[in-house]
Amino acid sequence: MTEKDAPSPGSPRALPLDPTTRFRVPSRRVAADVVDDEVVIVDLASGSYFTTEGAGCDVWRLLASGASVDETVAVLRTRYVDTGAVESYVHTLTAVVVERGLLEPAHDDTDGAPVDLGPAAGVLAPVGEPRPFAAADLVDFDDMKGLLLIDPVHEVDDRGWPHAGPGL
Amino acid sequence: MLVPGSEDREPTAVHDLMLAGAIRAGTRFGGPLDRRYRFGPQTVRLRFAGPEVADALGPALDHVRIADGPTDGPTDVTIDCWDSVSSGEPVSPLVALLLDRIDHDWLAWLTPRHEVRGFDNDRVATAFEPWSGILSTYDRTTARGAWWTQDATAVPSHERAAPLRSLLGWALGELGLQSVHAAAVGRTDGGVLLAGPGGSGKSSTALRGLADGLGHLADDYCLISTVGPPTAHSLYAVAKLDGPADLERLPEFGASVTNPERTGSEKLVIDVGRDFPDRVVTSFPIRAVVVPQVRAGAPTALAPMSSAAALRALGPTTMLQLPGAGSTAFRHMGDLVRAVPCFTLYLGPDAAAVTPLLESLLRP
Repeated sequence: MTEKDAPSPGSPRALPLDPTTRFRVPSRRVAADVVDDEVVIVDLASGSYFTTEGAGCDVWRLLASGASVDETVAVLRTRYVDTGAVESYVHTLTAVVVERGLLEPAHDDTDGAPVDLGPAAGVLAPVGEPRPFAAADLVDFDDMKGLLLIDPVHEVDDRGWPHAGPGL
Repeated sequence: MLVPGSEDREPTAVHDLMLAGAIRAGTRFGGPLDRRYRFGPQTVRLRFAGPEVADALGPALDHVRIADGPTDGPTDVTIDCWDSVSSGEPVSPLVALLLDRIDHDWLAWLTPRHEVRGFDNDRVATAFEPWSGILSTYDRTTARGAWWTQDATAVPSHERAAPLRSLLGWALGELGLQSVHAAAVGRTDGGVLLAGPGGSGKSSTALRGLADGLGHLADDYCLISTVGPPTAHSLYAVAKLDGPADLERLPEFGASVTNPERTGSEKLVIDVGRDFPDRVVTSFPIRAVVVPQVRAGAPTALAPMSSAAALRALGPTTMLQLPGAGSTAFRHMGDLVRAVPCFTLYLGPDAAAVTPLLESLLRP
């Protein structure tokens, strides 16, 4: 996992974000789970999967729970010592995950309504003293994409992929 | 006009037609071959329309076959399987039209995981395997499934080695048994799951264990339960090797290859249930998740792995191969790696070191 103090220069260009917008996980396309302090996210449409840890995992959990960007920034400032990088980091990471299609704006009754984030966001384990902030990238993996294009066992024949079975 | 999404008003239409076709096909044989199989605590009834279909799908499941005939025993799931060539029963015109549309414009009709757009919904799961020409449908409300292909004698080796994978994944997933892409070896009192993508060394590690006396639960796909102590359950009693080079490293299995005529075009399939029946294990508590990694020139060794890294090795490859698998499936895998220790198994040139390392993990 690569960590650095600024958003990755290789990340997609940050899109303008309304900091009050809430998001949700597009459940038919994306599956995610948090293990320890790391989230693993699978894009079932593209075959890519992603991971981020630490502050990045916190951002994912908050956004996926319905927090807005502003609310996410506010919660992170209770968990990390903010020397001025938190807001920019949250905006950039949010733009990246939205641009990748891992989160989508929530256009329903909860859109715009405050979310009860509870102490330290509720979805996050409580911390004692705020920790030093370290930006964590969203790391992507492409090594499984072939599963969506070639069979894991049977190789493509000379007709190319896909080709329906005999008699169709 | 049949276009993707137009049939949402009739979510069970294709499934109903598939079941009706299966029943007619079975009638042409004087009734289907009716068999029951046990996967962990669940019983699945498979009804094969004719011997060709039974021969294509049955052998890999024989180790969990518990009864034949239309008994009155409890059944959690029923799946009807048929083909058109051996039964003489064609698919209905609507299904034929759908297959024709898929054949001509697969991008419009199939998702990347082969779900059939518009016919795959919250009630009915529908998938088409374009390489094999296999259509599968499952109604979650009635726990009824249907499997069809044009010619059962043409079912390729990899489907015979892992038959009904989508259907069993859907049906047993509804009952709390999650299908995962992993090998599994050990003993009835404990074993390990071998996770990782194709080519990572799962199969050769599992076969090395089998050759050295370990029990064999799975080569590529198995079921896990994470309610209570994590447990693995067998799906198929077969193993696969990439080709002759693997067989040179594991010569014990040369006589057990069931498809030697396909060397070079398909993986080599080994019938573990037929040739090593006393080594087949159908269930065991999972003691660890192990991720093999080939490391030429370095010693064979175990090293602790983070739970998240293990989830990366187990989760995506499973999710991307199993139509319909979603957040619940992924959470089952997360629950597993949270509950048991996880290791990297570095595979060096010392193959004899593999099994003792695995055995060191089997004790509670």
